[in-house]
Amino acid sequence: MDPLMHITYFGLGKGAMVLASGDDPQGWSSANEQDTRLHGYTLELPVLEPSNPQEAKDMTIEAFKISEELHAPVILRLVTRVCHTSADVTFGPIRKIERRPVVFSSFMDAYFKAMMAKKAPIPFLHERIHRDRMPKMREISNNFPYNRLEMDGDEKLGVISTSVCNLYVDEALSVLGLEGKVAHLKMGMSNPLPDRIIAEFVDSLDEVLVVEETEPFVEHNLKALLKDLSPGLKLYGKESGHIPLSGELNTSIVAEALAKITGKPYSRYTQEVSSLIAEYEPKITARLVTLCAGCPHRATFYAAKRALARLSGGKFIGVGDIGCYGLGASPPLMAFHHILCMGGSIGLSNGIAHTGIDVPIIAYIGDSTFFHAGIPSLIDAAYNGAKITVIVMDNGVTAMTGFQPHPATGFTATGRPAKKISIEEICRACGVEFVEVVDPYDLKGTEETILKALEFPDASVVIARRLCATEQVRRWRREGITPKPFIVDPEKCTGCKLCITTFGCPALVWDEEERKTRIDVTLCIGCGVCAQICPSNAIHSPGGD
Amino acid sequence: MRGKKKTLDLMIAGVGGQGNVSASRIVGTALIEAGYKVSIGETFGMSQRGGAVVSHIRASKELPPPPLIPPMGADIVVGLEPMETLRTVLHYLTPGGTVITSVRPITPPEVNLGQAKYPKVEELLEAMRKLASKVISFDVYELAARAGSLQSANMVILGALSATGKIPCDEELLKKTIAERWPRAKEVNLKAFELGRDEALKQLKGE
Repeated sequence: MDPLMHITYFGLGKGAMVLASGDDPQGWSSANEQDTRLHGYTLELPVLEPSNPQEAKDMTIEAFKISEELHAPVILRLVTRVCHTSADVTFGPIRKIERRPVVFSSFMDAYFKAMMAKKAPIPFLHERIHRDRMPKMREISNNFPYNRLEMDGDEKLGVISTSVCNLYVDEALSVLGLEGKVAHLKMGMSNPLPDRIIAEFVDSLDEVLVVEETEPFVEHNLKALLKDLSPGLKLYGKESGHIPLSGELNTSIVAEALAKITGKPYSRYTQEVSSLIAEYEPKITARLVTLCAGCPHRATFYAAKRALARLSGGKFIGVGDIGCYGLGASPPLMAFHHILCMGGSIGLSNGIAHTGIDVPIIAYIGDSTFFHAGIPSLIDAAYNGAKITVIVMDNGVTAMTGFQPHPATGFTATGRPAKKISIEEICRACGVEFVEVVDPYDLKGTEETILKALEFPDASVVIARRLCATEQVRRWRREGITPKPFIVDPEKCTGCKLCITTFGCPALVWDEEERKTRIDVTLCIGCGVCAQICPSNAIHSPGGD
Repeated sequence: MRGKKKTLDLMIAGVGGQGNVSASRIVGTALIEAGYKVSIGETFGMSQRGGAVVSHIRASKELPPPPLIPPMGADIVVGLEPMETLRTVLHYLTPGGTVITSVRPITPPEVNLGQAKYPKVEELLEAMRKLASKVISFDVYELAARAGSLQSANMVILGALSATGKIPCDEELLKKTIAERWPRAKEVNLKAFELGRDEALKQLKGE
């Protein structure tokens, strides 16, 4: 937010800037339900909310036009159901714009001129936003083609919705047989609200329902407008209890709200389906996500836990970070206790170490996250003498988000070859004196090195380096290589289940009838790590090793 | 009280890594070719990491459909894993709809660890039969192995889907889409597709 608070005051000078921000109502793949529209309010910038992939494409073009007009950034607020939807998108003509970079001195120029003229630069710039930009923004919102009014004029009930909720409302009206009987204002620009369109909309209405994800942003701003426009209007939404205050919305939730207001009958399930759900759902077990079969991270966690068991009887404080390896906190590995944000593993570990607590402190951070947010806190640890052990889980890709490259991969986001930046050299340059590289598939070697790192009197780093298993399989496939699953010898397997209860690779399946482990050939990639764990030597490669 | 349905709604359920998302892209692309507006929504934990993954495929001749199929709204549920199929069928299948499912379980970690029990596959199928007018079931991996690659399991299920005649794009269009998407794996994928199709046709004839 810091750079944005400055950009919004100084303006862009020339060119345009569009900020695309993905919000995740329901927290499908995030840990919170941030609503970026509130940042738009704070920053005093326009917020656009497309409802589907076609609009996301079309409104991006609109966003650039508005940005150029206002000399200010424009926020494109996207939600999960827009980002994670694939659909057919029709392209318009692709314009080729010839532009060359120019030098201009807008930022500091404005700052110094204002300071000299007013002797109080920042309030002057803020005042300018309210005087010049806000009225323009309001005008743009009133004329924005994606703020669409659908009404005949004889409706008494209306719905205002934004983003994907526009589609849920349409479908809910159709499900309830209310098509054409309820006025609908579909909004594609929610900051600022289009006051003239809203005035026209509420003029003939008695009741309005607001449908939006996640905060009651439109609802609050609408209330402020209604005080003058139509103080007697009945407003339904999140604060009236018709729409939930958190979580993702869908057609059913909207239909339930509309049913409550109109008195139309609606239920999600028939009696028959409800009773089937009640009968069978308790028998269906949960399916938590887990590290993939063959994942090198699992081997690293296993080896680290063995080292910690030897060093301190298994007492330790572990801090994870943002990436696939966050799954190491789940059973049976339970490799760490805390996780916060990008780079938080080393930062939190620093703080914990300075409390003087007398247990080993271990931080797990991925290669990509290390480059992104781990380096300043590693310097902090080395400089301020935090005795922590940092394990860099180096699987060679940014696996969690889709296998993007990072500075150690040797190619850029556009696929251009680049020089590789060495993680070990960075760690040494940060002032860390213990930096070792291990191959996590070598369990014993990894355990011994992590033990040495934990015993080191200062901050230490172990880089666990082995290509992501999913990426490995992809590369094999391109080369025509098929994975060779390992085999459990049922004669040797004693059914001790240690491979499952301490290691837990999803390819290791417990056969309840035989009371033995078997290997799922559809999942096993033949990494061979479980064979190093089996105390009875019952697991071997197809070749017999 | 429900208004008239304007969309064809198909769901593909499975476990992360089974090729569910790729299969839904094939159906979606073929439906676009056939002249439909298509939207594919996914509900997922983390799609490549063993969690439950469901794709919502919606096609309409009119406006672009919303990304999620409402409860009891799916005309067809296709499942690559039997427990995941039932999870989806219970909430989403329109009573009287069609189900195609694999019968080979992928055991969740909770079950391996002894913290939960995996239901009997026959019981899962019995529950599906209570809601569906037709349940086509077989082991996708057995047929995929016969086609030459376990990774073609999702193509087996697409072949079976084409046999039902419940989606408005023909077999040839699906096959063309598959061949163009993965030119190098064309032979194996199309063989897997045919094996799935033959198996489903056999079951539809009641053999």
